[in-house]
Amino acid sequence: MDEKRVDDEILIGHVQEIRRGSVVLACLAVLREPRYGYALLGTLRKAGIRVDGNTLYPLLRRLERQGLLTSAWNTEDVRPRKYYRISPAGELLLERLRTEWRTLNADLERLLREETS
Amino acid sequence: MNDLVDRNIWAVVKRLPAELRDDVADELRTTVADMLEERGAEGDASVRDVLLELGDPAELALGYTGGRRYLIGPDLYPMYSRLLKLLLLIVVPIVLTVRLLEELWTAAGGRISGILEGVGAAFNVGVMIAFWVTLAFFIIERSGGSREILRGRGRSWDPASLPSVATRRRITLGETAGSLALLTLLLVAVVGERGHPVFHEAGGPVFFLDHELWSGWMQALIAIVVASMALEVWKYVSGHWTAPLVVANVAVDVLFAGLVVAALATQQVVDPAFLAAFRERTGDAFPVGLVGGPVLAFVIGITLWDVIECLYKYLARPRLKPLRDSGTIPRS
Repeated sequence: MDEKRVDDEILIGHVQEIRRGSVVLACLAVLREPRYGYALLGTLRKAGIRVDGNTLYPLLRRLERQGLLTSAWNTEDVRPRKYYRISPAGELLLERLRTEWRTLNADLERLLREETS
Repeated sequence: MNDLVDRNIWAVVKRLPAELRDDVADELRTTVADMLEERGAEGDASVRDVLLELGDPAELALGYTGGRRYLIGPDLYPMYSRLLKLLLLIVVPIVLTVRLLEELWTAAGGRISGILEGVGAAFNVGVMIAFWVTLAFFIIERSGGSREILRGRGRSWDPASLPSVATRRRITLGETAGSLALLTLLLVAVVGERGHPVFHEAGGPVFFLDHELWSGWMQALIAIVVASMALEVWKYVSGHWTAPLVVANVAVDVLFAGLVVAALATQQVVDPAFLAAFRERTGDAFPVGLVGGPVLAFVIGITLWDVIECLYKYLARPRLKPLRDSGTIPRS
């Protein structure tokens, strides 16, 4: 095996590991505006967050069960759609997660700079 | 709505709790319709594409229920694999030995089929152990018991509780399994003797050992053998010789030898009916002394050996002299 190349499978595994937790943060941030599942998927993808529908739709339910999102059926659309929106508890969590993310990012940046310089 | 879509959505929601079904089904149906609309195409090909993007219904349902994709989780796995290995290594060899000896002893269906029966029985026992241990751990996993079990262990965890490197695992699993197998054999031989007469005379079956021995001698022997087995397990669990273990081991050894010597000295041991039948068949007297002498010497010999061995191993056990050679821990 070429030593200069990273094994694709290993790479994908580690990239997924890094990205996994960020989806919740992105969802909470985007859902300050009410959105239905498929529209949210589009918004996230446009923003560069890679996530599959079969991960996202169950995730929305889980966040709702944890009281972080609220939902309501809107029957005025072309077809009835379930809109999700962040709850007050979700706002609090979002704030904490955002701080966590920024701290982690800053720490990692510093570490990476020191290592490469 | 398309039949293919309905079938797929049903495949998802049938795996969900009843109160979720309608809601999830409605949401999925809208999602599929939105996806189709976005593609601007009708027709079975695009329906297939959309459903493929949604993925395996079973996977999707697992996402909704938060179901676990494993039988035994990483928390319990180390305990599971250790227990399974231990049980298999101890029980299967014992069953194999006992069944082989039993089959060859009775030799009802010939040697080959006897061996096959013995191997088959050992294999079945192995499969049974694997199944029941796995099932038990699966139930612990699903009942949420793993957290309590591990919390109990985790709280009391203290790095200093580990045995030192030098004294760790002086008593191996193979040693324990071997001793347990031998003791089981002895137990089976002692108990099974009543089922295997040496001769069949007109007056009934003739056994080698005197039935009088069952007035307490045999019971004592069985008790000592069972105690030895318990001692083996204790020895394995503690991992190395300790003072209480040495004392218990010497006590059991002395009791065993004492019992055999006392029985040989005061009891008939060999059934008089056997002696009579032997003389009748061979014309010679059964050489009691020729058999009894070596048996006595053998019992005293292995007892002395065992006592000396455990004392030696206890006294010569490596004292704390850890890690200097490996040099992995920097010294201050």
